[in-house]
Amino acid sequence: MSISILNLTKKYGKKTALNNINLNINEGMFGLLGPNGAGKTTLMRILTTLIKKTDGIITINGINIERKKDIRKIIGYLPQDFSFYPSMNVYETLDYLGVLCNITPAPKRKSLVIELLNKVNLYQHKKVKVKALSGGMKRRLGIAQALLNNPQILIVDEPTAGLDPEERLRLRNLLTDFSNKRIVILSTHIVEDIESTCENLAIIKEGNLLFSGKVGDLTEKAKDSVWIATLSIDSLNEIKNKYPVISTVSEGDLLKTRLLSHKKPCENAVKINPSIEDAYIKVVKDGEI
Amino acid sequence: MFFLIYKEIKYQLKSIILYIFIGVVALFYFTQFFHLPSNIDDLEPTPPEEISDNMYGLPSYGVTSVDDPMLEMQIVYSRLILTARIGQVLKHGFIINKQLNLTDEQKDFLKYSANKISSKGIVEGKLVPNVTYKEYKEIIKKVDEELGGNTQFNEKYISSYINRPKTYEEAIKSFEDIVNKDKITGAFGRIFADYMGITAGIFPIFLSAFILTRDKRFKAHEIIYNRNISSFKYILSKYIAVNIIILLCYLAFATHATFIFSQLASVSNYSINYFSFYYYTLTWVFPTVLFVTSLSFLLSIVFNNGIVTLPVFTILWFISLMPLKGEYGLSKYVIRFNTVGQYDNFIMWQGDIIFNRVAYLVVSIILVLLASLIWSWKRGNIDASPKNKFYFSKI
Ligand SMILES: Nc1ncnc2c1ncn2[C@@H]1O[C@H](COP(=O)(O)OP(=O)(O)OP(=O)(O)O)[C@@H](O)[C@H]1O
Ligand SMILES: [Mg+2]
Repeated sequence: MSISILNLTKKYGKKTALNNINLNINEGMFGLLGPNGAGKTTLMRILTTLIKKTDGIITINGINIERKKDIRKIIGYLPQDFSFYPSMNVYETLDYLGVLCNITPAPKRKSLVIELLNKVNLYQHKKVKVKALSGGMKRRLGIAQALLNNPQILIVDEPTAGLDPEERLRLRNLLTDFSNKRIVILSTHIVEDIESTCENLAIIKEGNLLFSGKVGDLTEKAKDSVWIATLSIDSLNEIKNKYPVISTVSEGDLLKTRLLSHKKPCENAVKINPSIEDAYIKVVKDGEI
Repeated sequence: MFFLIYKEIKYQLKSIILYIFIGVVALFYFTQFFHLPSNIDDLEPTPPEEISDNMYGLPSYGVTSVDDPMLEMQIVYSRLILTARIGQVLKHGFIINKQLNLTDEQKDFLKYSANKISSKGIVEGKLVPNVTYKEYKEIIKKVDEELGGNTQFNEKYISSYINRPKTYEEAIKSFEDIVNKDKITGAFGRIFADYMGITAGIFPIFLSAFILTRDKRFKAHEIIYNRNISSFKYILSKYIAVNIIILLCYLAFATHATFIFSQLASVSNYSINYFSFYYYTLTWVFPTVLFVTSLSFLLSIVFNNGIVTLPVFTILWFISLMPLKGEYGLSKYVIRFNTVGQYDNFIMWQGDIIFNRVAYLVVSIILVLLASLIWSWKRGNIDASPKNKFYFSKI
């Protein structure tokens, strides 16, 4: 089971949203990380046959992406922002979409829908109209509909955005469970989502692939670059101009500052082991140059 | 497929638009069609000796159009004189007809033309023409041009007022045709289909033109378009669903009409044809509905927008609505037959009507196929929009 992306380019008119991307994705959870406008949604829409690539070759499990009908059979997709006919309730929505996946006969579809509703904890809300769903419930419905055809490839676009911590955790667990013997691609700009779930990840920014590999390789990249220094406000302002600052925490009058630098930035700076977040920020910052 | 049809029907049944549609059709039905005799015998012409009071000299039995060049010249001649005197001419517009004021030159031209047709005028009720019918045609054509075209002197409209009163015998024949050849409901079925056809020519778009844009409107397209279902199946089931609803709606009115006529007929012991209203609904009105819904499907997909169908259909509709009967060329997607009876004319035109209806049926099927092809392309190109200048080159 694999997705292979070769020299993928996507242009919207003159704007290049994806620029010559090369990527291999294998079984398990795969994180797609990038700031706003990076091209995450664009990549996912191409993989789910909703938009056409401008250039490049993509195969999913050996099937060329141009063979839309075959691709559609094996992918499930949770869009970043979606809804459904507002007058339909949760159950009807899944039933309807099940028909669009050619799941017949009706009793089979019914038991599948009920199974999925239980899986995402929506069974007791099955009569709630789509227009009345909370953000979290809607996202869970989104997961359920993406699983309808028992996809080999599940693609979820920023699934955790706007969810409370508890809901977020449950969602991550659900996805991790599902990723067994399948590919789950998860896009986010929140590093934490990836940290706890994905073994492999890619970072894109403004359409360019900045990194792809294992989480360990990413932190390795930032190994000698992350420092902590305790600074006064004046020296912080000075430092800010020279080095990218990741975070600051105030300690009395002073500020404990986490920053990126190739060499020791100031007297009292201490080198630390980078977190994934540090490494992500470093990669994104370096990508600017 | 049945599931999707059922779901779409259910969706429409919950929509207020459907009930507005039914209301509008009902309005046409009751205000336009439903002027029925309280008794079938009332349709029978009264013998002349029993007509006591005809003080206005109006034709007692209605009028019938004639093909009589002499009479035509006489009537048009009188109209020329009258129009010059009143100083106004009826101009047939695209949507509404207008009275136009004439300039002095135009009035003079009318008098001059009338004089050319006949210098002596009408003597003892008969026109004394100076010209042949052919020359008269030329003169009248120039008149229409001088007045700006499309006036009441245009060839298209002249025939509508070249009438003479019907005789009693002719009126009796018309009545007998209604009773015997048309079994009453045939005669009324055609005018029923005429009025229902007017509504079917445009109002179904409010039900059909927003079906395919709905997915995007409700942001559901990203979870619908990438499903396994075939585009043809998806579009066809929506198409069938909306047409079932509309057809049922017209059949309901046909049923009401049949019921009323069966009652009227039983009072005076006439026999009626119970299938006539259904027959004309299915063969005249339904192809119109099929065409309207299929074209609106296609347009709404191409433009990602349902409302564009409105101006398109407004234009097609007005082209189709005139004349009230007798023209069934392919530019008319609505069958007009705005008269009760005239069975013989109907038979004469029937070949044209059948050809027209079959043509629209075929066109509708082609349009639905085309709509599914375009939808199939669209579901893989959701970033394309008509605003995007590359859009059309991509199709
Ligand atoms: N339909 C479109 N037409 C033109 N430009 C587009 C279109 N969709 C996206 N873009 C542009 O392409 C770039 C990538 O957008 P995309 O939505 O893929 O980013 P993203 O990584 O998903 O961002 P976010 O985190 O905000 O969701 C952006 O600059 C966006 O403005
Ligand atoms: Mg996005």
